[in-house]
Amino acid sequence: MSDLSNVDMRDAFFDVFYDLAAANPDIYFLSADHGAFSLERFQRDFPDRYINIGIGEQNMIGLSAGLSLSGKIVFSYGITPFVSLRVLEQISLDLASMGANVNIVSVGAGFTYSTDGPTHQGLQDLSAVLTTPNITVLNSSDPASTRAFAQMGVDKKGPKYIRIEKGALPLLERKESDDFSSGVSSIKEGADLTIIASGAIIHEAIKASQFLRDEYSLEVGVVDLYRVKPLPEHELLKLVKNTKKIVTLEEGYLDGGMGSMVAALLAEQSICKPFKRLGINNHFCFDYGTRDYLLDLYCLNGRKVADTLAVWCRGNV
Amino acid sequence: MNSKNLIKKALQIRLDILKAVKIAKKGHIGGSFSIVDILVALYYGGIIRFDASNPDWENRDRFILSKGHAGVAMYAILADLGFFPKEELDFLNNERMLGEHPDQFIPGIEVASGSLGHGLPIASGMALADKLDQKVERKTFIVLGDGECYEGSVWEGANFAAHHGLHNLCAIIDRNSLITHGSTEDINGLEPMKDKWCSFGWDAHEIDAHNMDDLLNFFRSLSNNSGKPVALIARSVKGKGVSFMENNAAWHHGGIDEEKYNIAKEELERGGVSHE
Repeated sequence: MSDLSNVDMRDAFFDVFYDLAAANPDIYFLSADHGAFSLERFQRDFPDRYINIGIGEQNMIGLSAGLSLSGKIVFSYGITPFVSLRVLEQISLDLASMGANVNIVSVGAGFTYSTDGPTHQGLQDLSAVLTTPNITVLNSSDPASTRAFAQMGVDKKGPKYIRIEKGALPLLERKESDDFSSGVSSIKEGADLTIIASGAIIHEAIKASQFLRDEYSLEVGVVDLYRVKPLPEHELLKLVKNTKKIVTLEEGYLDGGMGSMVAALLAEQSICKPFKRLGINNHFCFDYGTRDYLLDLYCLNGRKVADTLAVWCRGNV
Repeated sequence: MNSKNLIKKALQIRLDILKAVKIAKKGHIGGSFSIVDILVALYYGGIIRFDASNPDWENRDRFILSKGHAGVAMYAILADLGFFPKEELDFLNNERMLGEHPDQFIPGIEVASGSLGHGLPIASGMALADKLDQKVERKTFIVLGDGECYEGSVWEGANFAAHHGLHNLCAIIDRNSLITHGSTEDINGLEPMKDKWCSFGWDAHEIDAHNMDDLLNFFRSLSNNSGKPVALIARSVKGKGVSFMENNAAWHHGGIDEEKYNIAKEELERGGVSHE
């Protein structure tokens, strides 16, 4: 898998998609006027099955439902807020309630579009989509998970909301047997504290775990919760069983997000361990710069997460 | 079925709707009555291909009731055609299969509807799939409310369908000119409706939604040759057939008491209110 270490995440997704679609004439790709270099090959070779619908995401989701109800497997692609918040009712009624075989491919998670402000940030999509019944929500954290999600888009029936990333992300070290069927991967174990992260921000969790070990002698585990819905409850509980404290880390709004899902699970299972959610709390981010700048500003990079958790751990012995 | 019998059938369907809503104590009578003749022409006039004993028949035409609040009109038709037992109509909104808005679990219903503005993009997806698969015989029909055309997603779908030349798609707009709180033209004008659809690249026509001969002639003349999707602005009367309901926005939604029920029933049994 070393050849995946520097792959653009979109390439990781669309290369697998290309092979699947080349082999299956029922696979269609709809775009709300959003492109990717690695998509051009499919567009060129299968022009009848690549449809740029222009800018009109509500129409795109409805069309996807109609195509799916006619036996097609559809991938519908656009920028995160426009293929989630803007079309939440279409996702709920046209796709999820109908059990349509449609994969929303959402690019722009968290602060991906870091200079574009709240209109383009992907901070609310998970909270919104997670409230929808009968949908699978997948969040890419590295090229391997991204490739697996493209495959699932064809192999697994029903509506899916798939977040992919722009740019290269390092390959996470998962167990060799990890086939992405469980919904969650243990990246490292830690007796003092375990950080459950979802999406690209997991790489900040790993950095934080290293700072906490080096500077505070804390053994910090990291869990990649790549399938946020349905929440892999049993697997997740197993992974936090032997850790003293639990933290969730997400590049998004805290209310109703991944951390809230985990909190509800822990509370209902009477897991009474110190617990903390890290993310954006009740705030619109009208700040502009690189993604790293914004993560730093909102105390969500490895350094700041480590500092926050070191203080928190001292108060929660 | 000839047009005389279709007119009789439409009266019977209106009576079935009236009874269902009376038992249910509430329902959308006005907007259901305005589309009855359209539905009867489509389903009994040999226009829509279906198999009531096999609702999922592969070669069926598709029909979407995008103005889902008129679900009871659809139910009356489907029950009468044998898609499901007619006694279900007596349990509208009452712990059985039929709710106020249609869903895909009801035999003969393709998609859940009720939130306006969803149907046209879905219908376009179905028509596009048929065009790509070269299923040349199959058509997709959709009935939209005129008030539904306030929703922007209708026009997203309209633009797409025209651009892709979905000539196998026929959208019927129930132009009864009333929404819940009054006239569309007083509240937020929709005219010129036909010009709007024409300007979006549709082959648009206007028709009297209650003239059975005109409806039949129009639907029978539909061909796959225009290269454009077809829009039919069906000039209708909300509450059509009952004197005190006609053109009265108050009958958009609600119940009907015994006295009014009997008057309405009598009028319909006499052949509906006459405007001759």
